[in-house]
Amino acid sequence: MTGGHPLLEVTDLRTRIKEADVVDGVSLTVGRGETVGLVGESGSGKTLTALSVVGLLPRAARVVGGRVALDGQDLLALTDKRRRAMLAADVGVIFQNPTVALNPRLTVGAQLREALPAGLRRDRAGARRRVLELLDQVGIARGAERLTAYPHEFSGGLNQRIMIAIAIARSPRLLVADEPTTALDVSVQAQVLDLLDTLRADLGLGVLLVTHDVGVVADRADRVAVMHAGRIVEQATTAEVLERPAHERTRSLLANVPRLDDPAPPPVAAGGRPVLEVRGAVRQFRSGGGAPIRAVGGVDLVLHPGQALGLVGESGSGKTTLARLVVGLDRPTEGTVLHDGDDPHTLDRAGRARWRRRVQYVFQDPYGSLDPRLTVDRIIGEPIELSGTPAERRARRERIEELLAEVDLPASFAARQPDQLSGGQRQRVAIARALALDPTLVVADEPVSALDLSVQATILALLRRLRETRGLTYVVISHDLAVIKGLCTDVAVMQGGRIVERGPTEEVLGRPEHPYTASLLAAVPGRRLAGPAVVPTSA
Amino acid sequence: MTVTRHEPSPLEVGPPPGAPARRPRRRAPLSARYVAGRLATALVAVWAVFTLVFFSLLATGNPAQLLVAPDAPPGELERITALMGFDRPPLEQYATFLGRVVTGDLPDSIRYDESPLALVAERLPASITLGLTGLLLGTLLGAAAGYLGATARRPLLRRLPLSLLTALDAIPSFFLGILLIFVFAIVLRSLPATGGGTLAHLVLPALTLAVVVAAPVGRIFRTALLDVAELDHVRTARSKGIAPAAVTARHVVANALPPVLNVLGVQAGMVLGGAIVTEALFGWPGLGQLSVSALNNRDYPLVLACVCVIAIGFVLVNLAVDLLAALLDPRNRR
Amino acid sequence: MSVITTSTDAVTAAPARRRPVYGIVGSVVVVAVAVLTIAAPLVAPHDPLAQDLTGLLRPPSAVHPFGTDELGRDVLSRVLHGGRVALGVSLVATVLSAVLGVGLGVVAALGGRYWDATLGRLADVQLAVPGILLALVVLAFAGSGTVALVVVLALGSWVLNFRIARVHATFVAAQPFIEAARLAGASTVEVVRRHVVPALGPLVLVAATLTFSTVLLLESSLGFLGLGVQPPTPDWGQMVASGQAQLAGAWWVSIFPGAALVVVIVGVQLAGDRLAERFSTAGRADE
Repeated sequence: MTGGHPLLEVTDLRTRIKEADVVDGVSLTVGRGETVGLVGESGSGKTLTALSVVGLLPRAARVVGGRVALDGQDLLALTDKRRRAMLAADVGVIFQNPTVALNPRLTVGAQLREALPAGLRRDRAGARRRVLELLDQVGIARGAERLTAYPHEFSGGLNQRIMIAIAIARSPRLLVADEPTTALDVSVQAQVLDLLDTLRADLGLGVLLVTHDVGVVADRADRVAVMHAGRIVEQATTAEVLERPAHERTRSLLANVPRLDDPAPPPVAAGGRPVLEVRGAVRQFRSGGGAPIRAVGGVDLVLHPGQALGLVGESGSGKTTLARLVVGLDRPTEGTVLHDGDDPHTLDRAGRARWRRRVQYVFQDPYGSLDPRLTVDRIIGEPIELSGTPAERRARRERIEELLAEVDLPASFAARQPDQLSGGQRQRVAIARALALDPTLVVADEPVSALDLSVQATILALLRRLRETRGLTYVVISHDLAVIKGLCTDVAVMQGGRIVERGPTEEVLGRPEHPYTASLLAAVPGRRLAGPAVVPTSA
Repeated sequence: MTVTRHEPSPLEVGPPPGAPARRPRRRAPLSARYVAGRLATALVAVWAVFTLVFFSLLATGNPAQLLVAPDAPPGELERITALMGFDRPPLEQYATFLGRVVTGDLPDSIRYDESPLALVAERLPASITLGLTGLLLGTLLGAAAGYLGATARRPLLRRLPLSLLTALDAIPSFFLGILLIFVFAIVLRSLPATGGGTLAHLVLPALTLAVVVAAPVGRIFRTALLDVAELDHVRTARSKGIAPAAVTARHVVANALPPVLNVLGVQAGMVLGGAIVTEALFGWPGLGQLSVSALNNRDYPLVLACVCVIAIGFVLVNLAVDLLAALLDPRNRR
Repeated sequence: MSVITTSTDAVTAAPARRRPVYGIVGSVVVVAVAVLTIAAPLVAPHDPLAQDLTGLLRPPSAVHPFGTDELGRDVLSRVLHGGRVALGVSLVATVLSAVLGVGLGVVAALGGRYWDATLGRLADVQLAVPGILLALVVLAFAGSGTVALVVVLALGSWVLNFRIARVHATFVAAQPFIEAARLAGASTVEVVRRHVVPALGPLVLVAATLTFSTVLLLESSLGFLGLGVQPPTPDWGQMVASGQAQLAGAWWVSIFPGAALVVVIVGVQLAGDRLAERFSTAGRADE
């Protein structure tokens, strides 16, 4: 009787925050057994569209028009209570960050039981059986032992599996997943997405997959809807969108995805005195009573002038700790870090001041790395004021104008404060600050990971250009192998505080020798996007 | 001001699924070490009060003067000075003083000619009755107002109780007491103005004390409820389709309690301070009134005893609240 | 088309926001009371200490708008003069408390683990001694001079400032822009001067309004107990106490000084709330 209707049919949905229609006439459908990817940059309205569908909008937002039909029944026409009942029965929801999406004060078992249909919830033994079955279904072994645990005792990946178990507990027909893997490492991401695929196939679910990651959508979705400024600008099968993008927004979205098949910058021959030399660096952290944690466990690294080294690895692999050792924000527990042959921690005051100018850092978070109370002028001028020569201090004004021009910002931006800048502009200001004292080595920690794809592309282009014009030596940290590929001459792969593989970028990413490197490459989403040619065959 | 503190969520990554879950190491606040730490702080606090009393005494010159009744026979001052060791070097005096306080061996009350500890013990039950009644009443009123402030649908019901409490809270305890006496005892003649012993006598002082607790508890509870309701895990609970009331009860209220307990701990001090004033004002035969009258009578042994007992009581209440808060969080149980 | 709200949770109330007008009213009231009390010698109709034994406990009239007390003194004049003491002492104590609290808070946040632990413990101990108890001990044994009073009031309230400053300074110190400043060559002192103190400014101001209320409350309570400013110098708390005995026959002796206290406390709180709200919205715009 419902055969004529698609599982989910959204028609002309409009959601408003204050006076703005943040979802502005969205129409889309999800069929049974189908995964529909909803992609767009931040602020495009994709998450609010999903939350409107499942009736979980934040307080400030409200649906002001349109139709959300589940199997032909318009949810928005129902009473609150009926709508809630229908959503509960037929729709499961998966949220972005599993660590905070679970109640810290209830056991995992209690939270799973709560998600069961009301009838089953009251039957203790039946509920327990069903919960264990669910845990088994989402690939959690030894479920019975896990029931009395609290979410903080689990990893992010495990918690996301529990979220999925909660979402499928009432045997829904539709799953709405809002950035389900954004908070997870690539290898965990791949496993969670595999699980979603399996469940979709086994249970015949329709899946609405909301993500900013074009690669994820390319791999997993049957159809794609591209959102921009509250509207869907293009909707078609995945193959069609990838091969023949019709809308300009889609084309720019695709063009800006960093690709593993982009050429890497040519290797730079080792010559002259190394800019950076790390010898047997170990960094341990004391932990509450237990054995010390070795964040960096014996790293040797040599970097010659003009080289750009990409540090890759999953979170917890020690790449950020290593970077902090390199710029002197932290001291190694054992071993040494030498810059042009000097150990900054043994230099005298004047020597340290000279060294300070040679090494600079670009932070991951362009929001936190600029003091919100200062103007751009004061921010970029700070290193000049603190470490500049008297001559430099006198020429401060002109210098700041030059620096702004170098990072493609108008001189008038000097008077602005960070809250008047976009994320990309902030990162440009942060780069200008790092360049203020003409350093030779720049360490950039995830310089683009907080930015949208289109902005990411322009910042990467800027970093490439600066390396050429200034002859800078880079250490770039990124979890995104494609970002490294486009920017770095060399790659070092870190795992568990050690470098497991190092070499020229094309070689390491094209013919990985270490199994860990190969597994990282295999987990990168976007295979359909990148085309089969770049999938490493030796993996 | 933000009251609730949410754990930042590091993008923590675990072992591949299937492998045993790694338990993140965290400092367990409810370990023996934690309790010992809290106890040590409490002891140091009590010791600090004693030390403060000692040096305040020392600052008066010869403290024996304070211990001798004004109409004492000549020679009494010298006798007391020698007896209490006030002619010894300060450090030795300090040691003796601490010893005496710890063993409860205080000189007799000047006014009552009795052991001050016995006097304090006699008044303690009345103070505990008033304090607990005020604390309980205040917590209940505050919790109700805070809950309504966060959940009531009618604007009037949402705003009025909390606004009323906030307005009452702006009135200093002693003046609120005066106002209550004026309205209920003098104008309406429905309740006794001062004194103790009956339930009717308890109403006004307990109400005065309750306001001190209720307003901050109400405000914090409301803020915490609203904050928690915005958290991701509450959205998860809502997505399960359970009734909104159950979401609030199970997921919101429980997570909004810690800040309230925190405030209760801090407010316990205010209640105690308020109790001293309130008892004096209402002539409630408790410790507060005893200490104020002892102060006015310059009955210093008695003041000393009162101060020590109040300090210990306060420290114990704070400790209890702290431990309760730690106990309520499952993250602290292992 | 009907408007549909899809928010179905029971907790629906949007945080109530006081309109700015309350804050303005509060500030105006506080300023007015401050001006009146500072100008007390000029505006008071009578000498606050002049007794008139022929006119005891007169109800409010044209000559004595607030009536007279048990010694025939003009209550209005005493309220105006009493405010000088109460507000003056509280203001000095608040400043002292803020300086002490914020200074130690910054040291605890940036001075390393040892300082943080030591100062945190010290604050715990201070919190474990109720302010009024501390005041009772010091004032009863060591005498009740104005200096002693100010010190006692500041000691009873610095922990609030300390905690707020420490939490916020720790938060600021963990921001990447602090590390950026260090990379630019800033020493700890420069970091504090350039980044931490400016960031604390608004918060300290809000905390100061809170502290002022607390301190004024404590000051007047001590006055009420007879431990504050000593008679015959008028003081609000002390005046409320002296009027308690006459409450049945001459309510005005207690009620007017008490009302003055309430007006100031409410005014300061409204102004403080407004400040807090302004700064919190400003903070949100940063995100």
